Amino acid sequence: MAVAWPYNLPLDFDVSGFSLTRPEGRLRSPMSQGPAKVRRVTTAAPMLVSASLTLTTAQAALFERFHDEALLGGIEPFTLSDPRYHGKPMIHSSGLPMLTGGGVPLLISKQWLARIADAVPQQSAVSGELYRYSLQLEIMP
Amino acid sequence: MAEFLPLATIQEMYKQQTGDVFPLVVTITDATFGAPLHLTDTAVERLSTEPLRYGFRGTYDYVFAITALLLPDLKPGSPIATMLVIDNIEADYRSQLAGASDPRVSIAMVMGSQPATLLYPRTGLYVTGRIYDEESITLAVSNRRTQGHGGENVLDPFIKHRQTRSVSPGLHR
Repeated sequence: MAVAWPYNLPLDFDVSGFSLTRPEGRLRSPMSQGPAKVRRVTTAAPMLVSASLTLTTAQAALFERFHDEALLGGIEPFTLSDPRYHGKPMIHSSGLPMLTGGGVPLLISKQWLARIADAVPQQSAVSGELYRYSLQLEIMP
Repeated sequence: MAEFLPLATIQEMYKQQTGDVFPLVVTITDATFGAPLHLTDTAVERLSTEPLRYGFRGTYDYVFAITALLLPDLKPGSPIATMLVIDNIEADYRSQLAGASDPRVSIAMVMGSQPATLLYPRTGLYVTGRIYDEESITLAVSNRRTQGHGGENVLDPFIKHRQTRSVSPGLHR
């Protein structure tokens, strides 16, 4: 099993630094005139995510240990929950949450298998006790 | 197996846009292998998480490990030949291929939506040259065995019999 994101490290990505690029598995061939031809060359392309995490000093140390030891310096893949959907209630097309027979909301479970992408995590100081880590992740298909 | 592409496949390949994929699949067999090696040049889906492997599920699970491969074409009178580069090397591929005595290679194209149908199959190809380096294994394959036994120039596409008097009399005046 791939390493899991540390349970004691909050996965609250900063809203401002979050961006996601859908997987690029197309080949576009420009024609001498007219619209390009486009075809699918792979259905298993990674999805790129840029995100930043604001961490306390203790959490930053935890992240560094996770990165250096568990991920072997950013090599190993790891699992983390999809910050967009995981844990949110399933909504019916009518707009109401879907419930179990007992009236408990059904929640979405969605996990990502990710790796550190081209850029290694970058740390910057926010204040004396807070650091911001910028991460570039590739979400594996 | 189809030597000529079905019309529906040709239409799918050449139309304005297609959502289908066309992986090339390679099967390498040898008497020393416990099981054939099934490889592909296209990552279509995740085959396993531990180890993390991608590939194509057709008749077999073809592992995405080939970085360069052209489907050899059929020209009348010339041998079927191509080269394939196996990257993403797992240690057992290297030892398996290095220990192979007389491997045979099959290459075919598959349409993603019809994974069991092999298109343009080239079967029983001989390995006429091998190059091993740290990153990859390069195999030259052909339907004709080369002359001699593994000389350094076996990857050269030059065919020796073309220098004979019967094929090229001008060389022998």
